[in-house]
Amino acid sequence: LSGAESGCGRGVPCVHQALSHVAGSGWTCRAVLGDGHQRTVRRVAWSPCGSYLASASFDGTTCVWKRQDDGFECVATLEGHENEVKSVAWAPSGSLLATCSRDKSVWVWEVDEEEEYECVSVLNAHTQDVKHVVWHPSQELLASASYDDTVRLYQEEEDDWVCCATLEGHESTVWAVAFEKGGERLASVSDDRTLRIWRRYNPGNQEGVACSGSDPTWKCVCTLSGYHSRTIYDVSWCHLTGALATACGDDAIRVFEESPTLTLHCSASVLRTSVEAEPSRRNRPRVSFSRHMSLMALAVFPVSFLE
Amino acid sequence: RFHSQGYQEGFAEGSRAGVAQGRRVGALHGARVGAEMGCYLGFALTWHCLLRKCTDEKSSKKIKAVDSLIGVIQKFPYEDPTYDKLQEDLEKIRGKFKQVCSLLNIPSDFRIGTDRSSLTF
Repeated sequence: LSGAESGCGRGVPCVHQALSHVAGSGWTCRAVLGDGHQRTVRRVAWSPCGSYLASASFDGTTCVWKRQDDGFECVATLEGHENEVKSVAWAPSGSLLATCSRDKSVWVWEVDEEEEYECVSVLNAHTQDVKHVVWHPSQELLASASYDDTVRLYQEEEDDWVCCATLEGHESTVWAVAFEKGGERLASVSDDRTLRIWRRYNPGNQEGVACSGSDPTWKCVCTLSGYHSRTIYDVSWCHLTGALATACGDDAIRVFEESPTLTLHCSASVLRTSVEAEPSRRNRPRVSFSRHMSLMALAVFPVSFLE
Repeated sequence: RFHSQGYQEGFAEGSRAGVAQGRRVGALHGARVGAEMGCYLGFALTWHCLLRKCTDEKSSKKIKAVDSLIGVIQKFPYEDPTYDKLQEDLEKIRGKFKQVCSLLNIPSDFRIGTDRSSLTF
């Protein structure tokens, strides 16, 4: 469960709201939406305008709730997934919604002015359970993370949604993905205990990264290993400060920050963590950079290379 | 000498049996894919007829999706089992079928009511 959104295990989404304006005062439960789902509610997401709440459930449905004066009303139930819906996310425009499921598919839904939802695409690109979907902060570009060890990106091309990129590199389930504020980089976290940063290279880029035709290429530019001793379940990239936070099965939250001095075209490096990485572990903390940046990186850090 | 002769005879026998089995498995699998795609095509063609006369905007979206499904099924190279995007295109067709069912408000396993059996491949 990410920090910004949460769901309850009892099949009920809870909505909490601040009680008063006094600093440090508590929260009050304003609504209990108990009749929408028949099984665990796995994720909730507010629409960009704040008037709608989407809830994704193991019962295979996604409900959309509209905020009213006296509570919330279910205005739509999106059906179609064959089994547990794992995640739901609103596009920045507010007119698209994405869901993903254990049935290996990602669905894109469109909502019109009359609050009617319709499915615009069913994407079967992943070969296993899809854990997480997230939208690019400003473009209609969708990312998904899966048990098949990949992150996939989707966009609309000629009236149809297609998988436009597959990010391979993780050695186990990818649990979550987060875009940087500018949307040129993406962070992914995995059961393989690494946090990876990927960067988009557009055709004709100055770093000389090859692209096929007019499509951008995404390359893994940084892998952070040895900091997490268990599966990493979630990642969040702060759009204000640029800091990355991870949620890990070893009971710790880690915050990573980027050094302003190590610019280059490899832009991710770790100099400080808010939690001390245990020194005496099998894998000492490593930062590794992709091959084409190797020469620059070597001068600054002792690094080891991952293929 | 008898050993190697026996081996050769066994190998030839095994190869023959293997080819026969391979043919059976291939035919079975091919038939399954054919049945699935044929089902989607029949479904889409029927809905194309049913919706043909509707002129409202909602229906035009449905017709467009149905026609898109027909197109992608008909474009598939059924004669070429070595087509490099075979699995990918089959998954695209399945996805398109599910999207069309969603637009038409039809359960994609055709299960209507709890006592009826559902469609599976």
